Amino acid sequence: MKILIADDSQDDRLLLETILNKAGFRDLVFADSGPAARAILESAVAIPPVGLVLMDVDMPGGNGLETLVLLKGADRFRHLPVIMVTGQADVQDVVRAFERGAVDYITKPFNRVELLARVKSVIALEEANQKVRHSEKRLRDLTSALGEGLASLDAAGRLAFLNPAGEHLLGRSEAELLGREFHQTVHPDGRGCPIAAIGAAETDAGCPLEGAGLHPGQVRVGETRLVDAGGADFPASYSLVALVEERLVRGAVVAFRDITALKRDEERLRLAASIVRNSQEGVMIVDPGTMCIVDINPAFTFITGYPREEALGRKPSLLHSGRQEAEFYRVLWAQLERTGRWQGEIWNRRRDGELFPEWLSITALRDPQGRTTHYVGLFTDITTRKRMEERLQHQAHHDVLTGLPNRILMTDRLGRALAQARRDKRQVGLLYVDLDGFKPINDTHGHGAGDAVLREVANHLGRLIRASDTAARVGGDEFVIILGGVQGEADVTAVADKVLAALSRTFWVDGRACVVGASIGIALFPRDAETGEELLGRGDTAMYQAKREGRNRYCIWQRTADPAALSADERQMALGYDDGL
Amino acid sequence: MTSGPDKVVVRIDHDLEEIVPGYLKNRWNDVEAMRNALKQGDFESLRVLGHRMKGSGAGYGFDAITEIGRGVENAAKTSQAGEIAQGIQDLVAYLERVEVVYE
Repeated sequence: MKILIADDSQDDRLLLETILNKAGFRDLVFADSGPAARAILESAVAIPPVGLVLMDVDMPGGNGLETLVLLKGADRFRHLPVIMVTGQADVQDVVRAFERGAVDYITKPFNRVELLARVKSVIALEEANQKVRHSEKRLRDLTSALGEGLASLDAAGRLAFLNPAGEHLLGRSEAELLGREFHQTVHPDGRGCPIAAIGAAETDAGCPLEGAGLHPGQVRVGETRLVDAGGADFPASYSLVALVEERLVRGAVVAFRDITALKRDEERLRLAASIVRNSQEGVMIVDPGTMCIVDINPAFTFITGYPREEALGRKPSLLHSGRQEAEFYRVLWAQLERTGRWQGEIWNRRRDGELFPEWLSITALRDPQGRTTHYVGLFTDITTRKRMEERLQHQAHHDVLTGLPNRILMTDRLGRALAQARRDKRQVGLLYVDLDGFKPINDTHGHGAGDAVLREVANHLGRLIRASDTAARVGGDEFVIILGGVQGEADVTAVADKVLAALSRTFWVDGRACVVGASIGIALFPRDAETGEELLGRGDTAMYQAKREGRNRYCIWQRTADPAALSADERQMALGYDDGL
Repeated sequence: MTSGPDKVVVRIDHDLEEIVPGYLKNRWNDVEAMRNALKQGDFESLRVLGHRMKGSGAGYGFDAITEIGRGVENAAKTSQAGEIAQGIQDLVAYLERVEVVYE
């Protein structure tokens, strides 16, 4: 350790140098006055720094006591131990030296044994102090690096130490709070916490820390509200542990942190969880590693029928209906990987086996590094919507009264039948059916009776044809039957005969007899026409021909009886003839 | 070791052997300085010289020099020239007779 000797007497400096050198203290520097001593302490000569000063009290040109005061007032030298050197009779000097921060004193003339004993003793003390200061600095450095506040309390619950993070959180310096009761930083809302209880217990006999329920070996953790210097309170988590010496609680350490952001995040998470829980949409969360379901919401269970305990840990294929091909899923996953999103309609299977359509939206959740952490599937059961769509679709293409396809759907079916026939090189037969004697039923018995007859007729027509054929209502009492894949005219006339037989009868409506018949025009594709429209026209023409020939029969369109030659009058006559009955 | 009847034998630790001759030589310088100061009536210098002898003498092993220094310092504080002259004379007598034995 470097020792500075400040003495105006060269003889004394030399004597001290010799005695200390012989005792092994070789790192010595000298000053002959107080100012010279301070100059050395502040200069490069003092590197490594001086660890001990021997300072003569009585020096001309710089009193030792004044220099001592200046040193102790400077932060750099506050901890530097100074041994004052005084005359034997100068008791007052000794008292003043101790008052001003001297660590010890030595009297002149020097007693070698006493001198060395005191120097060694002070050096040992200083080394111990340096260790403590170093340890304390290390503790402060460590606790400074902590993001959380750290406070040490004495047995009475008063602050003995506060790290910088604690100062920042409480808005007060350690110096301001030293010796203050730490429980005063707890907001009244946090009364129930053990930190606050330290204050409440203080009035009782015994250790307030134990009064607060803090016992050796026990760690109390929880949340409370603390107050900063401005009076603003904030939520804080804390950990309170007793400092124990000889089995007695001698103090406590409180670690605390501001959890405002955490609380806000928790609240947002709670809200998000609540939204998911109460959503009408089914939610399914899948782990990308195991591809197993890790979470679902109640709507998932409501829609699929799978309770939570049955769904978790299973793969989403649990719901597979088998209605989508492997290719469908391949495309789905490819898009999900590429864009992080997929949505569309998919058929799944409920727990009870029922298939149902759902609108599914899958999102890949990714972390900042772009790795997928979860897949989230949101789905809605669209069974009702699908049914509604189907009904609208049906209504748009079917006759409301009879339930048969209407003209729109008939035209479509006819087009398809023709296309199929071209491919198969077969024929399509078309029967244009117009009821005979229908108008009088309406006129005599009312529209209700007419409607009933039409429904009956529709039922009969439906029964007469194959499922692959079409019977449509295309006008008030006009029907068209499309027969696909026929071999020739005989197949068609056979059906026409059945139709005539089925309709040439009396229908009973509310006890009243309604007699109708049918005039049928027949045309064949491709023999009689090249397009659907043309084929329909040929059927219509042939139907009028049947009317003309006396009703309740069929006529096969013939090119020789050119439909274009039929005059408007003749047409009117045929209809009038009909209407007259 | 023996010495004459007018010698004063002082036993000093051999650790200090290197610096003791120099110390005694410096005291002869003090004699000169004190005589000059006394002639000029410079009692402050005399007080400092006395104070230093008082503080150093016994430390080196010369108790007598400490005593002489104490006398000079005290006399200088009250400007007693006679006492000081006596102190100088005692110092000279001591320096002439002192014999150092290192052990």
